Amino acid sequence: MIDRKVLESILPKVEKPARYIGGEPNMVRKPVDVPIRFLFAFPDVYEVGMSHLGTTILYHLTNEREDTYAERTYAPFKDMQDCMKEAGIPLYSLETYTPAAEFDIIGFNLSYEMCYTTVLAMLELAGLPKLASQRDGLPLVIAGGACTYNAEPLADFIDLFIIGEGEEVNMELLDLYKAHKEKGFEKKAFLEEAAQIPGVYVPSLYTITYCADGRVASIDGPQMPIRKRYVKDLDASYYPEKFMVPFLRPVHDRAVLEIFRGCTRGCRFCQAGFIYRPVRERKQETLFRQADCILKDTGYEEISLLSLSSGDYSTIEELSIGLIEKYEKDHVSVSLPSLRIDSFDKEYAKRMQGARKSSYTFAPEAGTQRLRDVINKNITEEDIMRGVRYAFESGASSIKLYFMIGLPTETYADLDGIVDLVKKIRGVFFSLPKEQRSGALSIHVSTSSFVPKPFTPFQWEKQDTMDELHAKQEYLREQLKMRGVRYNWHEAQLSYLEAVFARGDRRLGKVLLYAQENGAMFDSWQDYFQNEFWTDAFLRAGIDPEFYIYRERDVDEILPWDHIDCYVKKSYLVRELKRAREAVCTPDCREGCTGCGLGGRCFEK
Amino acid sequence: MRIGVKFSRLGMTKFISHLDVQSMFSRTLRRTGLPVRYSQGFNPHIVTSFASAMAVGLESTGEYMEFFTTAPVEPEQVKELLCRALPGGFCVEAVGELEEPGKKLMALVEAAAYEVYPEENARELGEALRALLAQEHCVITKMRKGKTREMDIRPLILHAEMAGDTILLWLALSGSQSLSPFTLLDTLARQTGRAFSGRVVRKELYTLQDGNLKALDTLFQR
Repeated sequence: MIDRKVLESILPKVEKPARYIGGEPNMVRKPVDVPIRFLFAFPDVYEVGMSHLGTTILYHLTNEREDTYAERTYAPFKDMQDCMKEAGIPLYSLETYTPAAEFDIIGFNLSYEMCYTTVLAMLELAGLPKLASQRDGLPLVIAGGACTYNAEPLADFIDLFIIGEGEEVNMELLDLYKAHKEKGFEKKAFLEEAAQIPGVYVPSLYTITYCADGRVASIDGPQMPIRKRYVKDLDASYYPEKFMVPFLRPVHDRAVLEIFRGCTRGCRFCQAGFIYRPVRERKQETLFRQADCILKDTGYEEISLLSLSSGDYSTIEELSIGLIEKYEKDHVSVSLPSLRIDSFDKEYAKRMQGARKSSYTFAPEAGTQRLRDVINKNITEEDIMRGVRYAFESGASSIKLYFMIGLPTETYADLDGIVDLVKKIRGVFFSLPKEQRSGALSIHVSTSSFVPKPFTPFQWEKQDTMDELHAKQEYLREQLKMRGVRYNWHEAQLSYLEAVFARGDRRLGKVLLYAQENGAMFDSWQDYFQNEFWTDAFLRAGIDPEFYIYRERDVDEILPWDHIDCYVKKSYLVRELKRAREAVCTPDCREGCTGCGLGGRCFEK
Repeated sequence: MRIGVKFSRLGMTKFISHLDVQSMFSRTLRRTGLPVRYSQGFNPHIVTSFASAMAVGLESTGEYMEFFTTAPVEPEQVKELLCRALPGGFCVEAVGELEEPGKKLMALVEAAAYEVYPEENARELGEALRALLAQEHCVITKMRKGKTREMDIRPLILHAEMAGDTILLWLALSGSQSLSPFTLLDTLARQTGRAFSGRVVRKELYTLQDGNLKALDTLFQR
């Protein structure tokens, strides 16, 4: 155990010390002398990590095993890291204050590319060698999450990746680990056997060769391809009944019900929509039962229905109105975050905004119908205006609009489309009689820069250059100078790096190492991101980042993630790319199978 | 009914901010299933009131909060349910009915008692304390919201004594006049040349009745 007295002496010096104490209601407590000690490591601060549903599910599920005690740790913030290093306190678990290096297995969640340096910083704080080749024995360092679909940049640091949903494969891995530990654990032998488990990717057992021009020449290893794992029956699948209630307000501070996985919309920029197929819903009865348990055991005041597009749940009306009516007297509100614009004026959505909302958020993503068709975001201008009108009529005067810039085939005419939309929205507001308007109009436009992601039709596209993006941001800034309109944009430099690592290969491992050694971490926090760390890292590694993002890749090129299979066929993505370039839409697959490769595994029941 | 709860918070929970303790209590009350009263309006929430905010780093065995119920409840039952529902580090010391209508506990608090366990320099701190008590005034400067303010802390020390190496303090704590034990300890520690380190535990909160200090739980009717 770490020295508690020393910990108590440094906590008063840091921001939000409650991040580092554990002991929350419903935290799992177990005897520590179990065969397997597992540490879930989330590479961001407590408030972010405690909002992550996937880790929460796996934490409680893993603890259902009698032979395993799963604990948690989050990235200590910079001020705490400095204090810990000075005081000699290593990265430790919140349940028992055990140093990370004393665990059997450390499991990182990789939700976004810019967390990679924080992963390395945490290994350093744990006192462990960052390179997998330098770690002879325990702990094993594994990783799961959305980024594992192309985690090549982390190949030198992680022993093993779990591709897909962890509920079943994690248990298989733990069973294998226990068997090896019983007869005397030997890392090489274990990894060789683990690499045979479907969904498990051991990067050290795969060889990648490159052409003279830098593209991938070949990939070879034990499982070709590694097929992602997914849970077939969500109703039968584990869902925690007791959720931990954090002592420090997390980013999402409410009970969460996962109503379905996967998405049928096929928006061409969205990786999640492709990698989480097939769509699997939880039955309504299951959800009602789970909601009841969770609310009783946590005391949360709000329950949120989570999925990639909650308005698409087959009986969303019955489910949401049913929950609202059931919990009204207990003063529990029900929310549906990130509703598509075309769902806002539906009856169930109206009931949900029982507590008057002062601000509505819509994500048209593109300013013109042409570009929305290119990205297959099947929303019309009429849908947008209807949603906006509903928002104003229900008493809101503040609208947030999210767009992406740098989308494939984009021209300045599309940026003008954003400006036109904003003007039209202003028009709608001022066309309302004065008595109906509440307060001054506020339109907040936010743009992020498009990042092409693996396993999407746009995985072959190039990203706009920094100059192009800055010019577009400047253009919008000028054009959106209107009363009541605010414009802000996501830092292009961060999107640039995100794009490099999203479609990078394992040669980028050196860059990550150098950048982290320079001091890079919490890169997604704009206050902590320092571009010089990265430019220096690329220079020292002798790697040109533009190779990864400014080439339009040939559809025949071997991609660094070709050895991973998410079940959506590459030929389908190629077809979607062609349709995108012709601005042809692909309808929602609930309207009819579009042949992505899942082969009717959707709606299996 | 108006219910008063005397509770303690010890150990690592001392690092939880007051606002987070408040929301923790609200959720704990919801878990008990007790008929707690909610506020009116668009966003109904449980109405709780705490006698005094707990600074981060302060442990306590004498904190108070109050809430209302929409139906009669047995204080013993409330105590049991709360005890079971509260997370580790928090404990219920006593539960009682409070006069309704009546002044909020927050408005009644006048003083607090503390036990301080210095980690080092206990003797020097004791000497510095004795020296301070011998004076009529002790003006210090405090930084608040970027502005410096002068404060005479001597009259805010109602009573102080040493019990071996432990420092016992009774300090003013009210809307108009308050002295934080940490402020006092930092002032004393300046004599030792080192920052204060050690445990600070609030033992009790007091109100003033006929010129005498009375612990808040004397207001509990049942």
